Amino acid sequence: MILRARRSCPIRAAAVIGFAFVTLLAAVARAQVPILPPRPPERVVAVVNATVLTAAGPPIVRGTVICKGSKIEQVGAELPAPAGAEVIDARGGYVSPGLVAIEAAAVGVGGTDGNIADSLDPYQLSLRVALACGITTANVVDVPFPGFFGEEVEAISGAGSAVIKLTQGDLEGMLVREPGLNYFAMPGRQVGLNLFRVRESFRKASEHLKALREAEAKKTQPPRTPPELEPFVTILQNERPTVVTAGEEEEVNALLEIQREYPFDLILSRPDAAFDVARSLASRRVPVLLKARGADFSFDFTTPVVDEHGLIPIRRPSAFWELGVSVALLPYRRGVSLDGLAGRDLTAYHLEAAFAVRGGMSEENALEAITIVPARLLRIGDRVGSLERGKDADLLVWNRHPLDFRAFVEKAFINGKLYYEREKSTLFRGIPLK
Amino acid sequence: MSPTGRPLAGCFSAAVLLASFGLAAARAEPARNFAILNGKVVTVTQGVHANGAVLVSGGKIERVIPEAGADYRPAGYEVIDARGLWVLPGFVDLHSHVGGTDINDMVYPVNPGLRVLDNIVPQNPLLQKAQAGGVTTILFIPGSGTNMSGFGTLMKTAGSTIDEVVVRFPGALKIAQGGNPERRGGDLGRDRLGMNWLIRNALEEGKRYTEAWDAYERNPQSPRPPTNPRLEYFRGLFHRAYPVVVHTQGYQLVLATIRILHDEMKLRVVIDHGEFDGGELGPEVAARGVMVMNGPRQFRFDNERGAFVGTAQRWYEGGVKEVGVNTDSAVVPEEELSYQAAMAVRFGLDEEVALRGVTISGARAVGIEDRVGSIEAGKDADIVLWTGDPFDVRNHVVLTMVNGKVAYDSRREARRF
Amino acid sequence: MRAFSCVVASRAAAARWALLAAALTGGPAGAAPSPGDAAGSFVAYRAARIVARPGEVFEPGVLVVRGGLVEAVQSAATPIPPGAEVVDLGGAVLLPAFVNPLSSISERTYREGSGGVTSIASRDPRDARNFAAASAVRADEPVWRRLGRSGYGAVGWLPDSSGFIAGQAAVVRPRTGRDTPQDSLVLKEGAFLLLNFEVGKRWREVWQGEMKKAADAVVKERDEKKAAETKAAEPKPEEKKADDAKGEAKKADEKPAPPKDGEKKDAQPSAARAPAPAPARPAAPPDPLVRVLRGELMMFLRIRTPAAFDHYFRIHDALPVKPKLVILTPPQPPEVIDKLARRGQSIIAVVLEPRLDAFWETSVLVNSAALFSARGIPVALVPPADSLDGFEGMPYRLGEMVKAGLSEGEALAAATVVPAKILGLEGRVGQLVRGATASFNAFDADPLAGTSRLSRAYVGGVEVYHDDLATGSVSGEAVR
Repeated sequence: MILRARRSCPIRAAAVIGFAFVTLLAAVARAQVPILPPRPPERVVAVVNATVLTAAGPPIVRGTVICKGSKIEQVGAELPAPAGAEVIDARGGYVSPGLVAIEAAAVGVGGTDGNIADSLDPYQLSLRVALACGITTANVVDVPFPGFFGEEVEAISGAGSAVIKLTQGDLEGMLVREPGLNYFAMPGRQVGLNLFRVRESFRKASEHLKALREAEAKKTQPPRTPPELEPFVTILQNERPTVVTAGEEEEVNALLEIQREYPFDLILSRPDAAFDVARSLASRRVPVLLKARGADFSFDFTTPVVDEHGLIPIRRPSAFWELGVSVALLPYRRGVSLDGLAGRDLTAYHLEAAFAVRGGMSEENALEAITIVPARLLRIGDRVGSLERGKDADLLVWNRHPLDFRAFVEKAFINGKLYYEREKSTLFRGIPLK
Repeated sequence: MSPTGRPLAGCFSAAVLLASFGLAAARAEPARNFAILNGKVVTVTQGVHANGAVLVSGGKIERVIPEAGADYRPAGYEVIDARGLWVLPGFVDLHSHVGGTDINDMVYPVNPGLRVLDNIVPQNPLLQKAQAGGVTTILFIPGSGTNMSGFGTLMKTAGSTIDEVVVRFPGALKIAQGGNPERRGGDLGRDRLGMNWLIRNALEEGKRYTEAWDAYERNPQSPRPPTNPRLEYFRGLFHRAYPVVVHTQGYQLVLATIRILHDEMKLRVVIDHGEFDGGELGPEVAARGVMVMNGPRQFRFDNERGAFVGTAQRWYEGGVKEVGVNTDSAVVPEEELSYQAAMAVRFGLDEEVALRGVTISGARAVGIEDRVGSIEAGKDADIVLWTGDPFDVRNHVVLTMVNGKVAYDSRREARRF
Repeated sequence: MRAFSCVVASRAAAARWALLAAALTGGPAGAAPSPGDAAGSFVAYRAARIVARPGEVFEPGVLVVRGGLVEAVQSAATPIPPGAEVVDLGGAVLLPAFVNPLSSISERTYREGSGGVTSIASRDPRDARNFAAASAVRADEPVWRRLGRSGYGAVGWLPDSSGFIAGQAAVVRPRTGRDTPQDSLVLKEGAFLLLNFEVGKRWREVWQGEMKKAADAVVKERDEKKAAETKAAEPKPEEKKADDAKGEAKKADEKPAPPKDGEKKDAQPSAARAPAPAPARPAAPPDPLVRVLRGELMMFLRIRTPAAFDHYFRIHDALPVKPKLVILTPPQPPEVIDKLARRGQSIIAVVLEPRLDAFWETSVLVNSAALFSARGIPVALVPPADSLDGFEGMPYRLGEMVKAGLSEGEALAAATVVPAKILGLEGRVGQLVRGATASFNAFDADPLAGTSRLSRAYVGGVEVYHDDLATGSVSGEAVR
């Protein structure tokens, strides 16, 4: 900091440096301790001979990723592996960032008792399976969501959400942040009356927040937050974005109006009926969460195949993206299912991106929609989501391009540590790879 | 296409149908001639032609030209440009519930008199999506609410009238060996003992009816047996004109199916689920020449070994060389049949076997291989253009032709899938 | 007893004579109340094989018992001390009576009991730290008499083992039929404090809060002690160095050893020590958690799942004073055993059930006991079920564990010396060595072979069970 030379005054810089040096010497003399504590040598891993999909630019052919300790040190084409590095040969396969699931359920959590952090279970089978399918970071949610048959499923304990890394077998390093995101559902029926109430609640919450901030500044006793205002105050405090499931266009417009007046970071979830407002979303920089495919178990003989915009579910991600809306893909189902229906749950997250490509997205953008975009929405985009120097070494080695239906994760690294190897785990070892 | 009825009762239904929908024939447009050019033609049965041409006329495939050359332009044929695309036969799904509404009517413990024919909704939205998934032929069957829920119809996914879509009725008998009918409750048929009896008893009754009518037909002078609409379609079943498709899965249940339906009743049997550990019966099933349409579950988690196992691949390893997949739509949407096949391949099945599994194997299993299942001269012009390997999720259907008519063209209308 | 019976008309009378003799001669001094055998009764049991403790076998051997305690175990070649009554057990195999580290057996449950003592889950983090099981033992209940036929000589007992702190367990022995109403069955009060750890917010908060409080109290104690000693040493500067050295030595001496048999701690300060700090609060019993952290009271901790271990050790690692643990846990996969083995310095022993369990989502069976042993962590085994049948089935289960990879020595130790040690009764129960209680079992063949029968059981030198197919004698209740 003090060493940053000022353009205009080299002498002053020298003086500052000199002063710092002398101070340091004095401190050392008095303390009689080494200046820098000895650090254990950091493990260096080099993944070579791969096509590297960084999610931060075009693919790097014959690429190398070098990790030092828990961070990515360097990414490039044909880089030499540093001396003493452990070399992992991707044998012409692909390397991608670990996938970031913006929503997941029942992964890494062994029952909840008020919060998620104290109930984390890094040994859970669903976590091991999700990791084996490429998920390295997940926002685990325990809020109501649409069930298998479209019905509304109650949250198990309403514990909210938490961002975790799927560090199989290690509790240390598992919790990234709790809560992960705020969740809010706009009222469904009786739209007029309830929208009014919602607006009023936001207004009151905004005033209350102002009062809280004043009290903090003046160091006086802060006013008590009435319980019915708590969710709204939390949203406006904006310590993390808020996901709102809003259906009809009217609701979305009302929401955008509220957000304009009382700003907070909004993420719109499954705005299926809201393509009309896509341009507003783009201009207001409101990102959306989308499923690439429509629901199954649907014997709907009445709804036309294509909606009034000429859109089907599979085309929405690319349609929104083309209009400049940030899109994060949702898994087809949030949990890991072992019932046998293949490719319809969290384990097929990489194939949701493939469906988005089927619907018109480019492969690069689709990969971003399951890596860096969710990471940014979770406000951890500086740490995960792409293979760039300085980020956490969360990466996957695949036998094929991750959007290929035959692609399996061969190796999964989190924080630079190898957590999963297909050939050593019983899960997918027995499958004859294509 | 009129249903293959049997004398009297069969003719009666044929007459009724023709009378009701005879107008359809009058309304039908004249068939157009098409030439599908410059695509990669995957015939399924006669190899792959990198730059082949397919000629369509009269609703049928007229000819396949292996190396037509880039400048080939036959006169009198409208050109469908397939440059850069793959040309495949339409897919066949033998376990579909989206041909119409209403699939389960649990009137009696067994319901052989019911048929999903009259409730077909041609070209319904689910079938329109199916076209965009490359599926052109389905076996529309009743559900598994009872042990014998009725007779299903082989039909195309495109066509404006029932008459136009039906390929053959009866397509097959639907039997559910177990694993759903138990829900019905009641005093009978809650356990395997009861369910197996219901099935055998109904089949025995049908067999006696068939024998009585066969005797009469051999000797028209003998007294005429009474007709019974409830048992009429058993005649074709016992003559092996069409198979029974069985909702059966798990080792014991599949074993019961092959012992009762194949060995004892001597029917043509298609296993239309076969999941969980049913695949362990591969050798038994293969020895009997029974085919398996695996699904919708394409994997099972083996708790003993902590491993994912591909259910279709397990059948193949056990010796069942013709393995297909199904959707059990709408458990899996009909248009995702190719995704089901992709999953079967992902979990170990050979891709060529999987491709045959959604085309010619299914056609053979129900006896319509003379009409569908591959791109060969003389077969129905059910042809689909894909942007590439149909099992690669990133690809999609560009054009679907059914019976020589373009049912879906994503280059001219909105994408449906 | 045979020697007396030829003289006295009834066995009851003989017992009364024995008691009188014991009263007159004062009985064994200072030791636990011994089963009501004749003080001074002197018996030498000859058997084809005597396993005094794992690795120490006499074949054939002689076990010499005087006054309910083991006087000697020797080879049959060694001359028997004169005056001993010789009891020839023929081809029997003698083993020390088994020791059960944890049981909640009761009059209500001894028939069915619960399986999986190590897997009992707790819902509420209730705190019963001051509950002393010793006060809840009803010696007259038949279950304690029936326990004699099980082959167990000592049981770590706590009626309810759930909750954050379940209470202080007592070590209880079977009743012999010779006990008077005054004789206590309790071999040791306050043997250990049983705690449970479950995953969840409430549990973490209670654990963190209470352990921190206790740890802080111990740190404070130590600081105060150190301050007092430093202060006391100051006035005589020239003797400061010598006193410092002495003070250090005294501090080491003064470190309280675990009390034996409820004996009062010797509270006399030594003369050379500096004046003690101001007297502590009067009368309030010392907090058992504080005693645990001081090292005065053993801590048993039940943790059931791999994730719970991780959550627990997070709290553990943050404490300024860390407890040493005896861990009760169901079978665990190798990955978890590996992690625990690396914490060897915090883990005194592990208490397991005598069963195998499957590795992650497979049917590959893992012998956790063998794995822990291989990593150097002593293993104690509870019976397969907390019922009389379960107790009686222990030799068979030990045999199964041996077939699955545990060594015979480890298996035997897991049912005898290791539990004895963690209950604080090393050398007193669980092995046949001089001075130990003469509680032992006679099997008709090697008990680990799985086909042997318990033919006789002795508690404190008194025969409490006698089941001899050859002679038709029946079980211990009939023995007077």
